[in-house]
Amino acid sequence: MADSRIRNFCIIAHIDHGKSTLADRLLEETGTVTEREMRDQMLDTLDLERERGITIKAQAVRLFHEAEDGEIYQFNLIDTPGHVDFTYEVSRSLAACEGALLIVDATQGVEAQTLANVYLALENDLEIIPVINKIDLPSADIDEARRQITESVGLDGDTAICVSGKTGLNVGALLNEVVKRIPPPKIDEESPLRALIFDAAYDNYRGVICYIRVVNGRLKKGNKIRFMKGGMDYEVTEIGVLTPRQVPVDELRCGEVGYIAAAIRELAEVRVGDTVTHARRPATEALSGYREVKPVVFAGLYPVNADEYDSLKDAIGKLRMNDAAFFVEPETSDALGFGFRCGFLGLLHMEIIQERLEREYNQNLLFTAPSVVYRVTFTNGTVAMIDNPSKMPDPQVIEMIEEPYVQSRIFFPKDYLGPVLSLCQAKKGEQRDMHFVSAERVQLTYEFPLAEIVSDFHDRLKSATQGYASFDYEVIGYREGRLVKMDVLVNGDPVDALSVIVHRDDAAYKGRILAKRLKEIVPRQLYAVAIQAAIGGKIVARETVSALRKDVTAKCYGGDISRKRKLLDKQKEGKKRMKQFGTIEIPQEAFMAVLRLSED
Amino acid sequence: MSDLGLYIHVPFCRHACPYCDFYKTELRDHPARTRLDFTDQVGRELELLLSLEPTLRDRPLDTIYFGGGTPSTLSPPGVAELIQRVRSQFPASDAEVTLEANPENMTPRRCEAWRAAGITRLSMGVQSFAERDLVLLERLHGPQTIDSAVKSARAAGFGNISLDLMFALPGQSLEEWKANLERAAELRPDHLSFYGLTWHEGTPFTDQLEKGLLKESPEDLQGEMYRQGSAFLEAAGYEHYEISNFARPGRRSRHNQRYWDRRDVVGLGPGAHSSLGLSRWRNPDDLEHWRRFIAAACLPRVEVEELEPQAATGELLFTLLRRREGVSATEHSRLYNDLARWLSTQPTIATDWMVISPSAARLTREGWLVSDAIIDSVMRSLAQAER
Repeated sequence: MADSRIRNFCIIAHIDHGKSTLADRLLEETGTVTEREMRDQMLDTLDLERERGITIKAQAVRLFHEAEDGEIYQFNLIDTPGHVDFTYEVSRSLAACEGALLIVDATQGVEAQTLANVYLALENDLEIIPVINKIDLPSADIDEARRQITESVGLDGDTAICVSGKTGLNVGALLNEVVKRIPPPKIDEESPLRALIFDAAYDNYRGVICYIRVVNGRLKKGNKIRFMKGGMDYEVTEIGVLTPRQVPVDELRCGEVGYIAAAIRELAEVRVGDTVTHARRPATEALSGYREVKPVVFAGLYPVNADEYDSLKDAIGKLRMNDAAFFVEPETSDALGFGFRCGFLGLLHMEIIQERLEREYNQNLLFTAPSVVYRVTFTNGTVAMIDNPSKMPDPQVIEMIEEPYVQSRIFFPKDYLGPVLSLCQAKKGEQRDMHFVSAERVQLTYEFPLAEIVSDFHDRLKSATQGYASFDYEVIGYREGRLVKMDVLVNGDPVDALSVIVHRDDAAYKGRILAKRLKEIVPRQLYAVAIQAAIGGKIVARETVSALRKDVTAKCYGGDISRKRKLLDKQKEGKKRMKQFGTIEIPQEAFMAVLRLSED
Repeated sequence: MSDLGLYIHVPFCRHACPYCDFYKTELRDHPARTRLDFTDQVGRELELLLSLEPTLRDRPLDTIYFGGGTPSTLSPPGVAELIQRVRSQFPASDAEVTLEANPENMTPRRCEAWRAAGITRLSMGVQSFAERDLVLLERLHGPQTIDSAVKSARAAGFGNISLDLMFALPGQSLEEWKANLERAAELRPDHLSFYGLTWHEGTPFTDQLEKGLLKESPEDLQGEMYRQGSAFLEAAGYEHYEISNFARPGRRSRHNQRYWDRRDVVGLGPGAHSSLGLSRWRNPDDLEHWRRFIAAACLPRVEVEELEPQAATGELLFTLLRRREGVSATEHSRLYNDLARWLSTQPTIATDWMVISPSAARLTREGWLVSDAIIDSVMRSLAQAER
């Protein structure tokens, strides 16, 4: 294949704007998969991805298209994860391309992630083709979408291609545009090999499979390679392309996209964004844009029953094989016993892992409220990163606590401006920008403490806008905060897993809300339960869950006994997520209650 | 050979009460023939069972219990014939034969006929002596009917009469409840049961509760009704021998005690449950469905299960603790020890609920009031100890 007939591109879009569906149509239209083979959303592999309609792991597919000039072109379509937590992975996938299709939903217009993705694509110098999707829907407003692409995104909306991923309308025309508008890769086969790792996955038989884009030189099976950041050498045991099945080839040439296997045992050895070069004739400089992926949200993960620790450990180990961004280390809690401190790229990442542990690995989990990482400067000048509120040292030895801040963009219909502004204010946001992207829609740019986003921001934004808002955020650095640790005592004993870091100004207020909420959550039991919130040993709030006064099965004859037995069994199931503290039981929801410390 | 209890579920009711969740079917939906055939079908069910489990024939019948539904809607000759047929299958014994009866069915003639048929005990569904309660509960009798029904039963020679009452009814005050108990005691029954109204899922009552048309009695009031009711009846010479049951000396329900001791009871009729050793099974709770089984000479068993030891322990604990005698230190030494250990881990208030004597562990009246939570807590501590 002459190199001028290669096109590497990806599709970027806001969640639900139809990225995966359009990818499926491209595969169909080019005959890459037949209709019979076509499972909807071919590129999403995990069940969870299908269910949630989002793409977690990027993949690359090679397709061939006969263009209007009669020539056959090789397209490498690189799928990108569609969520804010995976921005870095998206940026590496983009770096493997020369162009991008920017999808805008004709019924929704430009959303928060549309812009975030465009900025990422521009940073990577990509040629962007705007695509207006879902034009088959009666509520599609193509002119408005064009206008928003021009005014908000800064691209020429008149050049947008209008398609329907659902019906396949205009998909052929789109393929021709890809040929015309996206440039072929720059060819340099003489320089030492440099290939970008833009994704990796674990395979039980071949070890880690790395998805790569060759930027300089060429790569052959049997070559000795080196990961420039990882510093390790390997021998390539298999090279291939995805059609979307993995098909081995002898060689990947400059500009091409494919995969390699090199008997790499652990996913942790492979870093997305790393550069592959030849061990014998290495490149002098790695490709730019590499970053260490650091978790920003942490939570404790515990087995409900202590004897399930080993099985949880196994399950976490297996999950980590396929998710290098999932950070884990052992942790012990006075209240919850032995467990794990887990780090995640964001809230969605956390939810996905919790769900996979429960569903795929059938674990009986208890997790504590997510926390951000605080930077604590001691009076003696030393600095520590604290990712667990219960580990926050005594205030006397603290000089300063800093917390991570994010910049967030929020898009929503103007009718909700009032509620959104007051939400942002309640969340300690600082406004950086506000403007109308259309007559109807507002874009806000705010800076928030990440902790405020990690708590119930998304849920409250949704309810403030009836689900019409979209938002994204990126971490921008640390700032000093007036922060204190609030402890929760149950019948006088502190429960470390319920500790939370709050702003000093509203600590007492939040203590009262927390105690009240816990009172609603902790079920009435044989004994009264006293719930207290304390700051530095001083009780700021107290509530009591009164004891049961009457809990008796009145009738107990023939069938009643079987019925009761089944009821007890059912209750036992329901109690799975209750943790026993002496004679008191605390349900899972209690550990999440610290997330919703506002009256509404 | 240990003896056997027999339960016969008679599903027919003149009118279905809105709080009841037992299987029942209203008479107007069936021709008269259905009731006549019913007793014959029950006889056939028993014969089917005995042909499959012939050793049951050697066991003397301790009790026969006609429950419902409303067994007093059956024709007395049908009942007589069935009792005859049942007893002829087993060794002769001095069985307690109970019939649940609604006051409006208890005419002098019927009472005499039941007595002649071999019924030895009548359990009356009184529920309340207050007109307002009876209307709310959609019962078909009035307060006066109760008095004349007891008179008829006594006149017919019944020396063992039990009354059922309900408390914690919507709008019922403590005084009204106590007045009910006084009226009941004046009738000098041999046995009394009282039940706090239970809001079963799917009943018309619970639907109305959810719609806000009925209000649940406050928990504190319910507790006080139970306490004072128990104290009143004990003062009147009744022994509080099970969570909801009271008896004059020698007048405890033999049949119901079988349930609480987990002794064998075989159930016949639609919706009846059986418990034989560690086996449990249930008949289909649909008259037509049950009848088709019998017509096909097939035992109408659905949901057959063999209890695991742990489930059996749970059942035993749940039922034994309902009894005044509690868990015997000699007969159930392991459970007794478990309970003693559980109590030792609890705050001192728990000794108000459970009393451990050298011979038994039992719940007090206060303990019975929260017995579900106690049993739950004990079961969980047992499960933990096993780990």
